[in-house]
Amino acid sequence: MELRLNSEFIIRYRMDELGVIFAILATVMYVLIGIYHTGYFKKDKHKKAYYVFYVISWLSMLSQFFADNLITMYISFEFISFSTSMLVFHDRNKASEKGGFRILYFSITGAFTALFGVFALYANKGADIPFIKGGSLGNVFLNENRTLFLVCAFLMIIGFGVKAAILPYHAWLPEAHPVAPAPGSALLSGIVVKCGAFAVIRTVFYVFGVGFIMDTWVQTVWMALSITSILLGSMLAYREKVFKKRLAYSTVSQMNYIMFGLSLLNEAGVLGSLIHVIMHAMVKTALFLVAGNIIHQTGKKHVDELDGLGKYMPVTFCCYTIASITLVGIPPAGTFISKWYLASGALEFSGAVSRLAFAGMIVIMISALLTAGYLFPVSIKGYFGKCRYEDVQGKCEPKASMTAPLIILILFILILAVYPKMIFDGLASFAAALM
Amino acid sequence: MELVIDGLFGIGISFKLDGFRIIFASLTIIMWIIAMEFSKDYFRKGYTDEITGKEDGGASGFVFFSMLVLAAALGMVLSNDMLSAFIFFEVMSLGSYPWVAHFGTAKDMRAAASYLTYAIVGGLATLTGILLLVRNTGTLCYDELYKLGTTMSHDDKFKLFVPCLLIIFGYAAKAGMFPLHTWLAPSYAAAPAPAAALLSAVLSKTGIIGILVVSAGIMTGLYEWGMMILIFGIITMLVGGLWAMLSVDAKKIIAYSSMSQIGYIIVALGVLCMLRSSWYNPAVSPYYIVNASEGAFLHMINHSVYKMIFFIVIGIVSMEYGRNLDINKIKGWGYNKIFLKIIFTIAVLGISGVPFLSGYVSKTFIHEGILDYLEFVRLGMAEGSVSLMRAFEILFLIGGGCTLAYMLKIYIPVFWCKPEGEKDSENADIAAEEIKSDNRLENDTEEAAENKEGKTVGKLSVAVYIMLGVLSVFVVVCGVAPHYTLERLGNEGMSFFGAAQLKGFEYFSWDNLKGAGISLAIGLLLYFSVARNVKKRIIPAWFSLEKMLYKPVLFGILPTICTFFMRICDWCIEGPVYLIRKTILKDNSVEPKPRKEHIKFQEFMAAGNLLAKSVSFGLIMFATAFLAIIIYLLFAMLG
Repeated sequence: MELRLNSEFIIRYRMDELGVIFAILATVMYVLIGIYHTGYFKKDKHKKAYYVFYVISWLSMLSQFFADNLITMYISFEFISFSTSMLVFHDRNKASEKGGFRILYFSITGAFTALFGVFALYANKGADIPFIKGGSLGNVFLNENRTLFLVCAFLMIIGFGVKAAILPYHAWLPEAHPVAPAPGSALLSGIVVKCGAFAVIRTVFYVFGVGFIMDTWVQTVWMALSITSILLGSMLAYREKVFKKRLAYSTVSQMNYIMFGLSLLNEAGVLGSLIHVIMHAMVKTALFLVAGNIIHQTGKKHVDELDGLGKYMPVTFCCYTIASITLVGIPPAGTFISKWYLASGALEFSGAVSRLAFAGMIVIMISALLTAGYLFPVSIKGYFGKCRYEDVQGKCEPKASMTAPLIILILFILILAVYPKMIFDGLASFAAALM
Repeated sequence: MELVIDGLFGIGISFKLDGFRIIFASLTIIMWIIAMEFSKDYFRKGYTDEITGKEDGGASGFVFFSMLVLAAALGMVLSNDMLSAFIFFEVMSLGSYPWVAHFGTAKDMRAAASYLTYAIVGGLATLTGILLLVRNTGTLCYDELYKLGTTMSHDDKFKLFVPCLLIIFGYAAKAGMFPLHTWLAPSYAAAPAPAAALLSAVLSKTGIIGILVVSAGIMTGLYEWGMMILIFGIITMLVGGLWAMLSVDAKKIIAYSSMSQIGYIIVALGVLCMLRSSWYNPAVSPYYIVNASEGAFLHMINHSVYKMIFFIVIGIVSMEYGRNLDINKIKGWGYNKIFLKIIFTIAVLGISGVPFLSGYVSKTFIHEGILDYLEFVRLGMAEGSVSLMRAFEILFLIGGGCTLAYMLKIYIPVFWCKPEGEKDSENADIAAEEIKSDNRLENDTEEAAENKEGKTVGKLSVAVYIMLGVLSVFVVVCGVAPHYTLERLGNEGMSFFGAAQLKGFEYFSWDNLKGAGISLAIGLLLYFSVARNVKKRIIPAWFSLEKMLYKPVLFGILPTICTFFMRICDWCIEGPVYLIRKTILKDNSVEPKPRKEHIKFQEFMAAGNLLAKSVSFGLIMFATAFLAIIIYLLFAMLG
């Protein structure tokens, strides 16, 4: 599908493997979270406006996933930023206003950072930049002005990385998530952040090509930033007491597993990243839906207030426990496989900064430890602790419309944990083809 | 027989069935049957859950997790490569967490948290080790690692030292090896008796298997590795023995005893690894390590059996007295219980290594293994010094003595002291009160008093007695006729150790009996001099590695330092933005939370301290003038 505005500025769509993988993932999550809304927004006045932006964000996401050239993807990327910030504004109070503007500012800053790169590329190329496996620009063109294009690549990685929560641009997550309605934050952490990873994959593997970035300072800085963000997210989540904020910091660290895997630019690393995209989307959505259930039923937002709730909300807490075990990556959980490939990718890494990659592997292990440290106490205290609040006692599970999506997600997670081969083989051949 | 399931759990898992695994899997299942049978009785007198209204003392949850752990433990035992073993090991570690946290009091939760921390930290260390190992060797299959172990050169093996150390970190933590033992006693004391029995009888053995496949597989014959394992084993043995002698809680004594016995097995593994370093002719070498391998394997079996007996008997006691089993409190409990007395006597004598009981056989083998290596060193066929190995042998005998000493410490008060008339009923009252105060273990006072008169027997099902009886018959039969029993069992498992079959061992030769005799004499001496006289808790609560080192470092210092740097990173974009808004844009809407120093500064300025104000005013004037002079000078120079 093509809409030609002039010789350079073409809106064009095409379906390819990567787009389809992400689009299916996004659509499944949108449907599940959509079902969840019906229970969560039972008596909400502004739910119609919310649904409008919900659908717009879905469409712009599909537009990004199926975009066939850089400019189309960039425009869709901006659309996603605007429509998702509207989801954060939903509560219409001071806090949500602040959170919404935060996500808006950060997205725009990131997008403009990337825009610099996009402009420079288009200005030099003078023609459309499509997405082709292995890089559409070609080494001849890139070597004409190597320094400039390296800067472009860096700015685009960091700029699109604003959604993938890479270091300088990670700060919108912990502000936006707690104030958004729970399904909204599930959407932000489950799918919207994946758009950043998607844009980075398109930039690196489809526009510049692996060979151009391999062993340059861009790769080094990219890797160092993602490693630092992994540690930052886990560490601050470990110290955070507000439940949704903790999960948001957790997203910072988990998304940077993906960025780290991509920055390795080898097959195992990319495979690990792709598996982690899928696993993290499901797990984080499930965790935020759990947070939503708890907030909807009891109104408790603080981690220390959840003691003893496991007895009153057994399904929710059971789902939470399974999801948190999965996120930690303890075998046989699904993220164990992605972690295995990320770590073996880091060990196989033969580039100039192999020591940095090795450090990245160690950081992934430490981060897994911290993940256990910030997720398990909630479920342990939930089951073994004693409830201190009179008003909370006896509050039971929410309606089926709120538990059903959660249970479906957990079933997906369990099936993928036991037999990941069904997604794994396709992803492996895809990752091999990317190189 | 091998079974490979490709793609399950991601990378695929593989199983193998050989003599060792058949024996160990059967042992696991037998232990599980006994423990589950006992758990029916143990939980019968439980509490009523106030929310779910269940009256089984939470036994249904216990059974669920027990079955999960059973599946995982069997998987761990049967698996044929490191990754599948690790996957099952982690499921086992996490699944056994609810065992430890079962009763849910604050103390139990602390023990359980410690257990979980070890499980997760150990698991991640093991995973890192496995990743590093597979990068170097290209395979994780046990058979191929065993082959590599015999063909690799010393230097190549030495390069794998760190990965292997990381791998055994997780396994050693589960086994309770010395620096990683701090979870052991609190967790065993916190868990319900059947769970503690399984933790000690089976789960710790899976940890041993993990150490075994590294020591007898890829690292076999590396002198440094064997020496390290040996030293850790000796320390584990002695620390466990000493702590058991100095404890007064019966369950803790048994727990530390478990640690000490695990130390024996680890010693055997270290010796086994070192014996291989003396290879000159690979064709003959499997014969060198027979004694050490038999010792390790048979002691694994024997220790499971003994610990099952001890924990069940202690569990029966705790059904009466609650979970606080001070030996002064339970004094005289078994005076009239003839059957339990006989069984406990057999078990105590057996684990201490008295001849004609099964413990003697396995301990003799381990002792012979140490002597084998001593002989090699003496002949100049292996590294190491004679005096060092002699010292290890003596320490080993002392460790054996500790076993007798701490076992007598439970045995004599509980089974040989008469329950004292008046004091006794008082004790029962206290016990009943304590049980009452423990809200999770409510009990009828009358029932406790009734039990006190020796009628508990009626409360236990016959099946438990039969099983205890079978276990003790096993101990006696194996001890009296090792040629027909233990030796055959051991020979079945020898291929897993890479050892040859055992032939014509003189079990009751003078030398071997002498070793046992020395050990028992030391034991009696230790009992009468040390163990008997410790009637109160003398190890202060703060004196533990966990409280002094691990907890402050892992939960205090490291996170604080790390958080500090991460907060700086976190502010790297917000900080400048905030600064710009406050300075250039003069945006007063973004007031930060008033900090303490900020308020103090404002108060200070408002108070109007004349001196401070005039000094600061003077400084401002000085700086302005200074700036003017510099600008003037600049212009003058340029002009």
